[in-house]
Amino acid sequence: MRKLLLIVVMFAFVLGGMTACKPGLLPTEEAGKPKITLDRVEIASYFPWVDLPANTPLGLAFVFNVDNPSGYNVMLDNIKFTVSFEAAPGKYIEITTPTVYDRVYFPSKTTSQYRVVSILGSGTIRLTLLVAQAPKVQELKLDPAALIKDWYTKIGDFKFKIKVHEGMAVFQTEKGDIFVPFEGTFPK
Amino acid sequence: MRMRMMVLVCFVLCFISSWAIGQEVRLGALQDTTGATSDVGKDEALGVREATQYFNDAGGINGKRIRLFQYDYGYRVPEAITTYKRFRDYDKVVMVLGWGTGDTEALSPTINADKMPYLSSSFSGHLCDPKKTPYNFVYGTDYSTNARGAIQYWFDEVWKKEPKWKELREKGVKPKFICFMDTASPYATAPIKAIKEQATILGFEIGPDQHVGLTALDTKSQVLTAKGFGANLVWHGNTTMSVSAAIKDGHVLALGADHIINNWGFDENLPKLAGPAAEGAMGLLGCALFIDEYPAKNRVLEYAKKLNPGIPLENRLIRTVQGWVKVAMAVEAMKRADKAGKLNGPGIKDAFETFKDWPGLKEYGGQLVTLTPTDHRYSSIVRVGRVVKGRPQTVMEIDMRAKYPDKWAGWLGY
Repeated sequence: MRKLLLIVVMFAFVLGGMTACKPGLLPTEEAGKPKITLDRVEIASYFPWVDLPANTPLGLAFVFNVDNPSGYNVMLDNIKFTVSFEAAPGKYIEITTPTVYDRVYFPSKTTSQYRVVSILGSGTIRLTLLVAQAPKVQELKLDPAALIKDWYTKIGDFKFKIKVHEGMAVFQTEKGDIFVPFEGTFPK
Repeated sequence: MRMRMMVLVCFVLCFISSWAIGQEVRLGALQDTTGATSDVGKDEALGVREATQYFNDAGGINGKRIRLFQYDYGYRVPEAITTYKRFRDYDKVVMVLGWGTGDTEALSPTINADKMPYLSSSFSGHLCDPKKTPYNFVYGTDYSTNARGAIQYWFDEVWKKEPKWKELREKGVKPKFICFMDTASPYATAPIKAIKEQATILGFEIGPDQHVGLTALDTKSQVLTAKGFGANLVWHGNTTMSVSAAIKDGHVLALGADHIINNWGFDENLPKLAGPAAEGAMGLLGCALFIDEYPAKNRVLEYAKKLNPGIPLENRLIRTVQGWVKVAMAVEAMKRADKAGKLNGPGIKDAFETFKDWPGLKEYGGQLVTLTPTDHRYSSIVRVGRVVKGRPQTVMEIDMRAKYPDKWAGWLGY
């Protein structure tokens, strides 16, 4: 009888140990994939406006929540996203596409914050509006110089929306590469 | 003893394989996604990123993973120079995928001194003479050969054959030719000497150059000057956005001339931006258009959806395919260099120079590539496209070496 009890206790220990050691969801499973959400946008640096063609810098910080629900550590290999400013109600114009290659580990079952700082310049934004975004600017019948000045004036209070889209983060894990698309808008 | 030996062998094998898996090859890429050529640069950057992922999934460089560092420099030469220094000194890349003519030519003395292979999206003919720029490579027919081919095509196939020019042709009138380009842009001005020389060979009358900025939205004064000269043919040396503005103004002001366009100004966006004014416009194509059928199309589509699901496929351009061409050519050179045990600057340069009718780019609508230690011109084949019923498509390929065998050698580095 005592022998049987001993066996049951040992079995329970082994089972308990196995359960405790189970790593949980795989990062490659849909439910275990990291998730990225835009928490907020901050003004990282701000300079007084100088009329174009002078180049007024503007530093924006994009703060993301990175949730790793899996039972494994994951490594962010690179992240890129496009930033668009609201030019008219519900109409956005692409401004820049920051890309970062710093390798950062996110432990299992945690949510961490990750910040990407992007330095813009009014002259660079003007070129974007005159070239790659020219069709949209013409369609909305906007004056690029006036629009940029308006953005610079209002951004301190976030009086227009900033959209993060075409986002893609590539994570490396021992189970393979994971591609995580994301998007978000601030203020929400 | 035997057991011990087996354990030791297993241990060594595991160590070697984990070391090989952990190895990576670092590749730098300069892109313009916000500057004066971002109308074509953003899409090319997407193609470079997607292609790199594909080649990594397919085994990388003989098992070594490619780690891509891709940065926007906004078409600003000083920023390209500082970014290059980061590639060289901190990212420790083995080669660079470059972008514009201004920055590539400005960096050329440095990268050649550093023995850094540099495969650029500038196809400037100046970069193709290894005596002057041994570490510069291009992944398309050079601008000067292309420009010569474009004007040759127009002369042979349009001026001599199409009813539009019958009356003037029969009167024995010399065709009148004029160039529109950003005269401050090294990209736009790179092939001008060659195209004017070709125009002279063909017996054209050449009008005054017209400055059209890369960001131009209004080109009416330039169009009126061309009209006053009586131009029959206009060369557009800029990128798609300003080319479309000039073509639209030409249409509105009844210029009446035909248009030939450098390869960075001719893509799926041209008819979208210029509308009916683009009909019949001719341009140069470095590879298949995104909308074309080509052997690697499924792969290109798969990785576009996988890495950039937020970007609608209908917005993608030939520039995506050009990004694939660029990476495919770089990967082939790095693989050859690695196999030779020389995965470094001189090794990659030597590997490029072993390309002999290399067919790898045919999958993307590119040409057979031959590079030698004395000639870095990618090909002598000029692929001409034309907008037909609102859609750009290939109309002819011309082999300029076969057409001008006595002149071909002398055009190196032009």
